[in-house]
Amino acid sequence: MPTVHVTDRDGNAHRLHAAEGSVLMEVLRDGDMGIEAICGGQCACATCHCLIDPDWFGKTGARGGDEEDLVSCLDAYDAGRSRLTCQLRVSAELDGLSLTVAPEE
Amino acid sequence: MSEAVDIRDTRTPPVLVWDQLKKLDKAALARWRLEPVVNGRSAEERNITVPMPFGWFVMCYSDELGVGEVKPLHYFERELVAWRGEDGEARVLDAYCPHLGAHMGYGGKVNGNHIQCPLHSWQWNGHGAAVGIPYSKTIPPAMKRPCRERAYPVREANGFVWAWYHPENEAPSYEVAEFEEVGHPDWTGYEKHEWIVHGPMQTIAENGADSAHFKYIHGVADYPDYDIRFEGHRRTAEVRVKMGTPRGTVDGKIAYGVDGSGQPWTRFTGMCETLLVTGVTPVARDITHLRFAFTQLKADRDGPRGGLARAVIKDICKQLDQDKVVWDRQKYIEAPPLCAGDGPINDFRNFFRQFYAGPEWEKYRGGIRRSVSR
Ligand code: FES
Ligand code: FES
Ligand SMILES: [Fe+2]
Repeated sequence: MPTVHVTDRDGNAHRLHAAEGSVLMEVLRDGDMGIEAICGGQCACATCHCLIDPDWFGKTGARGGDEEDLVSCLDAYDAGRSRLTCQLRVSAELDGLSLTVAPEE
Repeated sequence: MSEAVDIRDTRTPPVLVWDQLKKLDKAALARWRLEPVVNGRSAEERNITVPMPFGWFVMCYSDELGVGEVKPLHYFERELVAWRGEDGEARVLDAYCPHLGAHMGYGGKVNGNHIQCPLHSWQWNGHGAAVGIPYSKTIPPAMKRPCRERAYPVREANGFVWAWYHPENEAPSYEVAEFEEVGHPDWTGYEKHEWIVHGPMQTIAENGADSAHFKYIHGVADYPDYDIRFEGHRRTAEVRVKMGTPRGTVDGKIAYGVDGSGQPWTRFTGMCETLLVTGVTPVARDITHLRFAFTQLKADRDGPRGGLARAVIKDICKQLDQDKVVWDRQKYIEAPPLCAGDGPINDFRNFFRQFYAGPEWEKYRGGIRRSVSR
């Protein structure tokens, strides 16, 4: 099972195991990483925002049009790191992925 | 006074359906025109299989929607909200807020040119896009897009606010016609009358092509002669009538036209210049809101022919009352057994079917090009 390395808002490090094919937002939310995910994954609320480690960012693929539109309005937006995790699925390729939960807006 | 009815008199002598209404005083008649039908039957029971047509339809009079005003409406079997922004422009949107479903026609308010929902104050523009949420930095991207399903193209012409309805959300295929008499200093302001007819738009529009009914339900003495032309989205007709007036018989001319399905107008010339602008709007497939707005040449209305001018309007409204008695309970006969003298009802229907959306009506698209005279 792929592993995800998460730094939460208090700076604490966690290791989560995530089934392949699962939605990354759900993994973080269910792992109590402080992800609100208010819209439930509709790319509407931006409360699943995370900052991907630069080494891993390229592997997550490109942001979609709506994702870009939404995430670019945020104060914590970082063009080279920002992703909405409801738009990402866990895969073998992402085994070892490392990210930080974005600050609350 | 003699009881004899002038055979040439086109004003209505006693006909059966009028007996039901003549006892009503003015206020009771106005109420009856809008009331539900006692023992009315459903669209299914009356075989009303025709859909609502697409087209431009009256939402309200322009003067019923002031700047900053919000109005709930119910047309096209949908809940709608109309508002006028501070820029003076009228807008029409599906009434239900996509956020959590509040009805914006009740408690919604105008904020600049946008409507603000009563429940969480999201602001929507006339294209159905969310433009502001007071408590959130972000707006859901899907809500920021103009929405054709929820936003109606709107025009303002002839003292009415018009909205374009198309069940498949296609863009307008023609424009609203404008009349120079409306608002012209030589013409009166509108005299307004309205009805809720419990029948489909097609049946109401068919009235003009139904030559035989004029005699039997309206008591018009002679069959009028007519020229009806069908051309694309427009249908026009000229009807020549002998009009009985207190001063004897006058050769009158009634020219009427309909653009699309919802915008008929009628010009009466000969005895008293009158323009009738009609707004016909589907409430549901079997219910239609009908508005008559009359403007008359001031020289006629305020001059020695003023009584006649008023009588013309009264008589037209009376004819509508008579038709309504029938329409409210009429069944739809899809393939009627028409006989000689029935008028170009089938031509009319083939013309009208172009305004029904969907593949089964595609063969009628573009209308027919035909002239029928009698
Ligand atoms: S959960 Fe709402 S945008 Fe991702
Ligand atoms: S329901 Fe309209 S703003 Fe929430
Ligand atoms: Fe009639």
